[in-house]
Amino acid sequence: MRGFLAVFEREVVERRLLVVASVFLGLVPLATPWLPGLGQLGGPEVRSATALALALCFSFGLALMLGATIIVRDLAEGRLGFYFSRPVRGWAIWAGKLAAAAVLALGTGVLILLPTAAAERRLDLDGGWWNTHGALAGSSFSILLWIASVLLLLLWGHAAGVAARSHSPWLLLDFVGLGFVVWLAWASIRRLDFAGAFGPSALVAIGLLAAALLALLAAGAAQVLRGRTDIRRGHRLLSLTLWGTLLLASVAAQAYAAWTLAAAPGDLEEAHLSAAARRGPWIAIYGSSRGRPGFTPQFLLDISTGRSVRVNAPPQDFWPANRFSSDGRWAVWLELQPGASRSGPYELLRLDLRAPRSRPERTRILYEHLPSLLAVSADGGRVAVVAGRRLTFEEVPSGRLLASAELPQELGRYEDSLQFVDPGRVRIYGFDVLSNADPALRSGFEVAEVRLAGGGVVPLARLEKVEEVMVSRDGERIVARRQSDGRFAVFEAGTGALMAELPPVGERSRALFLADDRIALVSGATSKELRIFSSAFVPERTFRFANATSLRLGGEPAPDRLVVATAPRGPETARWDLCRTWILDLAAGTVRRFASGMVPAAGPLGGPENAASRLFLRQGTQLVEIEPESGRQRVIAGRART
Amino acid sequence: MNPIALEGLTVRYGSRLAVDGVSLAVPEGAVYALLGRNGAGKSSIVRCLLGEQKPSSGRVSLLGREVWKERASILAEVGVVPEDPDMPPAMSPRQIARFCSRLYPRWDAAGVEARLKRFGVPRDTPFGRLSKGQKGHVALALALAGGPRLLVLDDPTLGLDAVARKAVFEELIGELADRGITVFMTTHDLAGVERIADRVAMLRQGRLVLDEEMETLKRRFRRVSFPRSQAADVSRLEALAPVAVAARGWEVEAVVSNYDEERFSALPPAGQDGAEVSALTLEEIFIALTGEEEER
Repeated sequence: MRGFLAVFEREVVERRLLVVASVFLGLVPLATPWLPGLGQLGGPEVRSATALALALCFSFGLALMLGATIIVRDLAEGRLGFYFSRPVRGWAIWAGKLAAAAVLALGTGVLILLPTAAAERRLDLDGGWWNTHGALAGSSFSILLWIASVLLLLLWGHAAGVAARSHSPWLLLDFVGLGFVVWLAWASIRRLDFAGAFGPSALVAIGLLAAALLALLAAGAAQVLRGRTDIRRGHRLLSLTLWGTLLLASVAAQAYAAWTLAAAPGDLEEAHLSAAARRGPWIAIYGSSRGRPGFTPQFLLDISTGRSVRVNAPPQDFWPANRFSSDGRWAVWLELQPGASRSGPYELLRLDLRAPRSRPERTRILYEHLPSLLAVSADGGRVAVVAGRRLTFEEVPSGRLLASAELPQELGRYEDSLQFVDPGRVRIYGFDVLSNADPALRSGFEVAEVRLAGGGVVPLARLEKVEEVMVSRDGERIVARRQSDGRFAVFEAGTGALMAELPPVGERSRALFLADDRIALVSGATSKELRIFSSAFVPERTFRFANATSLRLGGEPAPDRLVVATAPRGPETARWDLCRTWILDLAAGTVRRFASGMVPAAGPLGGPENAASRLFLRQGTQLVEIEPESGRQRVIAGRART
Repeated sequence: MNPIALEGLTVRYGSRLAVDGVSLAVPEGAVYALLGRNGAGKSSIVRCLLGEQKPSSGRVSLLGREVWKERASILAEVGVVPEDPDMPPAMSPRQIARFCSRLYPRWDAAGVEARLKRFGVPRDTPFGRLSKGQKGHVALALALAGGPRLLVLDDPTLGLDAVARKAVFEELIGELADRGITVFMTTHDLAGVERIADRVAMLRQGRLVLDEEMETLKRRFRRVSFPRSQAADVSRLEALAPVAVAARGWEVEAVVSNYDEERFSALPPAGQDGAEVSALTLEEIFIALTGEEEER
């Protein structure tokens, strides 16, 4: 310790002029309001920004310069022997000089900031461009990042200095090592990014930076402690330690990336249903998986065989969901094109769900920007997307662009759904642009159509002042609550014409289409009443559920059988963990309770041919298939909370 | 225990062999001079001796301990004067002394001041601005201030003028008389070292070619001069087993490494006719031994 302190003090004292220079530099920001051109920009902001910029530039530049000289110059000029011929341990020489350089680089930065901080009565490290992305929350993180950057530059400067001044052929290895390690690291990050694993990708990036810091620290220590005054031997030790450690770290990053991406449905801690084919056993699920924080893998899963395909896309709001063709044969989705950056381009992929060994197939359909809506035709032969204000039609097998139309400004922004009516027509449904955030501002629900023949966007309908809108499975009808009288009404989607008005209900009510176009009207506060209307709006059945403050509709796992779950009141919200699950016989009007704690995984649009109509969520995390007749349960994915 | 012991020390720089299996031992209290021409491997041995460089093979023991592993603790009892004084150029001798005083358990601050004053070295001038002689004096003053049991001097008089060289050796002689420190020295100043060294070793191309007591060495080596006419009788010359032979004017000089007065007297009378026997200086012995390769 005596040696460390002596070396540290000597290095700092020798460079004391840097401290004086930083004190003078710290006064510069105070003068900025009087500088020509800066005076009118607002004093405090200009002062803060100037102080911050000066402090960072000075400390980063100093870190690099000191790193490249504080040991290397003595070593190259044969003066390091001064320390090594005295009773000072190698670590004390290395750590003393390194600590002195770090303290000088950081300390001078602080000294530059201090006068401005004193003038402003605060030290705002999070202001200005330093924190433009909101990711760097809190001063402690900013300070940590600053310290880490200074150390990284310092150690990097040292390694580069040794490599440059040793005049050793190991410099070649350094270049090869640098190239290889950067390539490996970049490949791991890209691989994870491409799969939408942004959390693990950030973890790998941070881990590799930390590994680089540790590797540089260890390599510098090896060079000083083992290489001592022999710069060539020191360079060899530095290179071997640095590239050996970084190679291990990069290989570990690759292994972690491979392990992360090898996630299977069986690894899911929580499983959620994101889509289901209208026909057949295929569903799309996603959820968090063990040991992969920040990664929500998404899978296409055949629940009859357990076969699965991972989809390289994050199941997030901004990313359009997977789509299944109505005939149940094709699944389509969007992924980043291999080699692309996070901002695109994006590629359409498809999977033949009926071919037993099919693999995801890359179509030749690329989008420069991520589409907000995606729809596939009934036979899977065509897709339509909305990206920005443009809607495009493509033929999937050939990748041919069939049509493209600009969405007019006056139609507002359609962002709810996009649906093929037939192979030549696609409909867009949505509230207009300003209305979605606040229901009170919703002024109108719009329907428009784009036709291959003729092109252009044709507005079909506009429903004024409506809310709680649902479109029928075939896209031809809309049920919505009118804000004017609170009643639910059914409208023709193609014209906006009123087809029927449902009986008046209270505030906590909903009207929903079932898979067979019947309509369910749910009402009641402390107990729930479910009324079923035929597709011709004729009342058919009424079911009542006492002590139920919430009711969710599931699909129809068999003809005339409707799944419903009811939950009792909880201290704040409904207790879905205590819910009861029922099967309603719509033909006979009977109710059968067949499970507890099972919430329908999908909405009411799933029919008997749809696998999702038999899927339930247990405790919100485990996806379970229940046979409607026998009540037999089978876990599909996810784990029940204990 | 010998303060310095090298066993089979070998140093390689890539494919170049700088030191080739050198073994030597420096006894307690001895003044040991390691001589050799430039590039003979002296500085490599010193670097290994101080734990600055790892030998390619062999063992280096200093004060009974392995120096590569225990360098810092051993050097607390060792004073070092490097070949090229390597103190930080911006620091003054006084600052350097203050820095060093924190590293040694025993530090004679007054002694440093006194020596620097005696040498006439300005104490507050940056080291980089001192003359070569002054730098050497600073290095010696610092090396002696830690109360060393062992002094390692790597050509301490290199580049010094005659006065400065004399001052260095006088200081050393004084210290040796006072304290009986063991000294290991490499030098090209053979006349200077001849006065103080007890034992001499010579390196040639990385190999140790000689290692013995100064007195024995000087007793063993003699110059024998023959008139040129008699020296032509090769058999007579070979009987002396000379290490070097040189023709000078009408004479031939042979340097004999195993001079034995009785044996010389026993040679045939013709061999003694006109022959002169004289003692050699250390420098002459050195030239005879290490200059031989080049002359041949």
